[in-house]
Amino acid sequence: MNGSVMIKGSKNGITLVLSETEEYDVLKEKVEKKFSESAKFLGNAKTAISFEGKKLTGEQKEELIKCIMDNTQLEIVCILDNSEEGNAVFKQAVEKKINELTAANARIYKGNLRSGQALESDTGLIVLGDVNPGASLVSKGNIVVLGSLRGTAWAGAGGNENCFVICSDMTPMQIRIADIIARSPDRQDSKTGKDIKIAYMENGSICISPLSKDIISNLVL
Amino acid sequence: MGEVIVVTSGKGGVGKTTTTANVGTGLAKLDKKVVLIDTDIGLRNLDVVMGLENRIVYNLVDVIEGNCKIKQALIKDKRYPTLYLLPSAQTRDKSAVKPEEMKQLCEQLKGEFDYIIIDCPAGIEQGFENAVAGADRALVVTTPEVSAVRDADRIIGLLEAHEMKKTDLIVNRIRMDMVKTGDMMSSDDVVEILAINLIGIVPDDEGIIVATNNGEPLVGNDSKAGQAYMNICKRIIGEEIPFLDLNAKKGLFKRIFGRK
Repeated sequence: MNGSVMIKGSKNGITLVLSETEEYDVLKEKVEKKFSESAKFLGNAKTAISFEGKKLTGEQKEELIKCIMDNTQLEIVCILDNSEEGNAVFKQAVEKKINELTAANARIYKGNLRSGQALESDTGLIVLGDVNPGASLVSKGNIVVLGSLRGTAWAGAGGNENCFVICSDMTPMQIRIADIIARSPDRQDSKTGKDIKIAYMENGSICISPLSKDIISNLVL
Repeated sequence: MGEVIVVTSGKGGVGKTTTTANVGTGLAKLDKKVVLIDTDIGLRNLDVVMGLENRIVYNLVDVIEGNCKIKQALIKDKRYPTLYLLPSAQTRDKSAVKPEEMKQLCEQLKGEFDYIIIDCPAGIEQGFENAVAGADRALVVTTPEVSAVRDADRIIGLLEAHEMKKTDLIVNRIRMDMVKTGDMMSSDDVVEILAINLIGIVPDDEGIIVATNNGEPLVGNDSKAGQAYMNICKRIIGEEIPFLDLNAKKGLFKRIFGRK
């Protein structure tokens, strides 16, 4: 059995493995031969096909499919893309979409979080109450606290660096955004005014500033 | 039907045992039938603070294990006939008692006493679980210090998880001179973080040390701490008492003529 053309069957359909070193035309002949030999064995199923090994253009794939359909009783319903780049592109697109969804949706929690309690969410978090020292908030999206934030808050826990933490009384023990951790300074200035502050990531470090219209307009959800 | 009150804090050394002794004695002074239970098994000291340590024959573990009847273990206070103490065991540890057993004991005592006050040990493990098992309400004691408040917050979270029906706060050992200079948290700062009802503020008082050594709780006497504890007792039975003005200084007249 020559190794330049191999037919693999899987639950997804047929995988056609083509040697990378041979010429396309040679391979096409071999494909024709192989499939006509195994026509009876393959039967008349409806199946999907995917290509491995040699890189083919769209046209070449179409030709091979026609060849297979001519020489067997198979009906090729679709082409499956098993390639590495194809998968990587899909994964990226899906993650981006999930990030958008998680960032744009939020779960509302009413009440104080006491020391030792933790609130975790795949979507954003809105807390109507205080977060006491020793309590922690973990969200894959953004965090908004309408109350005092004295515990730890981790926004963008899935790696999304565009996430932010907004709070009406920002005196946290630690803030984390994606993979970066920032802690409050050892000596607190007493009562720097209770205005609404936002913590966001800029150039790889976490900045805290009062929430202004400028900053809001620059936010990416 | 009695009310079971647990005095807890999370942090050690903030004044749970002192508060249990004083609140119990204060309620007895108001003619209520009170029993104090020490659940700090292995490190008992409620009996020392009450001055009853040489009258102990049986203890809490003996009662739970069935070695004696409850009446045999209860010790009548030396000053107030309606006040009783159920001491803890010194030679066992906290695994000797289970929460269900404590709950059963409290149910039995409810029929005979107006108030059952449980002194909870420090921590959040078995000792705490035993103490809160039978309780109807909780008094959380804290000092106005960040570490104590942090632990009190944890305890309040655990009490909420246990669905404790009523939780009140006592701020203990406050020093108004330090609050004025900004070196100590005020009781308002503490209440702001803990967000529960404040039932009493007790100032730091050297008289407490003297009272402990003598085994006679000072509730009800002339000192600020004594009055503060008595006010807490009255609030427990339902009276509305305004908080003491702990800042009150002697006026010029008193300072000249009031010196003894």
